[in-house]
Amino acid sequence: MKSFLIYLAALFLLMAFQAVFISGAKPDLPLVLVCFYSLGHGAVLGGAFGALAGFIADSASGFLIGPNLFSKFLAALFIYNFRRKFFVWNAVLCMLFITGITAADMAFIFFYIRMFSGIEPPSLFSLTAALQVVYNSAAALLFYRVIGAEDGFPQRAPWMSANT
Amino acid sequence: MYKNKVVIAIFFVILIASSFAFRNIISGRVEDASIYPLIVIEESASKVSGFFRRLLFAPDSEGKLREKLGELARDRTSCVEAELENARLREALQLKSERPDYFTAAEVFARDHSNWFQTLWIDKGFNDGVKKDMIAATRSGVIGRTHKVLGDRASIVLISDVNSAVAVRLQASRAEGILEGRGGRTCYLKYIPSDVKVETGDAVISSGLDGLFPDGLLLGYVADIVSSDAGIFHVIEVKPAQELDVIEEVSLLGR
Repeated sequence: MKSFLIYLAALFLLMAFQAVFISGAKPDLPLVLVCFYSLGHGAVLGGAFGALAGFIADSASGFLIGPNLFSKFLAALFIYNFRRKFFVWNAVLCMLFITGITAADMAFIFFYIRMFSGIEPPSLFSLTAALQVVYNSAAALLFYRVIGAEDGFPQRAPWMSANT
Repeated sequence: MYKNKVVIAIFFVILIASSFAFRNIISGRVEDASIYPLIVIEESASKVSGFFRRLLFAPDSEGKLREKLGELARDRTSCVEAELENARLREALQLKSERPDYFTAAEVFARDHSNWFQTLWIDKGFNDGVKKDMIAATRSGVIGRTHKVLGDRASIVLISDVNSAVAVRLQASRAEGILEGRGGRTCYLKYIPSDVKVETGDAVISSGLDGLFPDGLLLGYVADIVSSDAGIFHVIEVKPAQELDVIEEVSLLGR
């Protein structure tokens, strides 16, 4: 519960950082956070945190239930299941997976908006989209260092005690 | 493991079902609740920036001189900010004297956190008399219209947003078309017949035919003619008259 609340607070701060301080192409830092939470806490808790993070992100964009709710939920499930297939886990692998998940997440949101709004959203292959993937890859490396991803499985930050 | 998959599957089905169930039931208090995270975001952002400001400008133990220097730097920054704000407010006042439908001015406190939507949040809502579909403008031109109006806050859909479409005409040729946002920095003007002569720099003004935007408001200038010979219509790229990335205050026009 303690780690859940810490991650939730971090989610709000990251969204605030994106909304207030970054203009132009923005990273999707909540997605990176969801991936790390899922890696550390398993598919069920990760999926729940992903759905909550998506709900909050959609609310801030003016939806009650929108594309982020589904995409973050799925991202949490996928990254955990990908991780289980690998015996070795390091910063590069983690970054590659999060890069792929970011691209898939963007594709999901793109088709969701296109399907439900009937209006063509910004191109999936635009510079903004490419920059988002690059930013998220860099953020994945940074988070790997900050949150602390050891070779153990599931990953858990060293500052989060086992009884959380 | 099987149990986990069942739980996940049930959760996913509930998500899908609720997304359809709640699509048309969003109103009033639910909208207020949905915007709550943004308010928390805004407050947490100001707390974070306040923390760093205190950290950067904290009194130094080495001497009063350094403290004084910090104070002067703070004062200078405040003066520059006040000067810039004065200039912007003077422009807003000019708009007030020019437009009889001027309603109020508001400050922008946040933007959409994602790359998908071009929206702003302002610090005035229906408690201040703001209504849905009011026109948001600066002295340079129209920037969008109000969309979600809550108690003390409202969102503005910019003309560059994918959900924006404005009935416009080219000021020079008087040809009418639709200005659509594409989620980028520019908009696209559609349905201008290809036999109409269009030149870069032509002003694009609202035609008033959509019933939302009053006619004659400047929206932007023709930046490029993307395609003119492929079909019966031009596709024209339009640069908004107001740079949409640098808006700090907006004026709202009544309807």
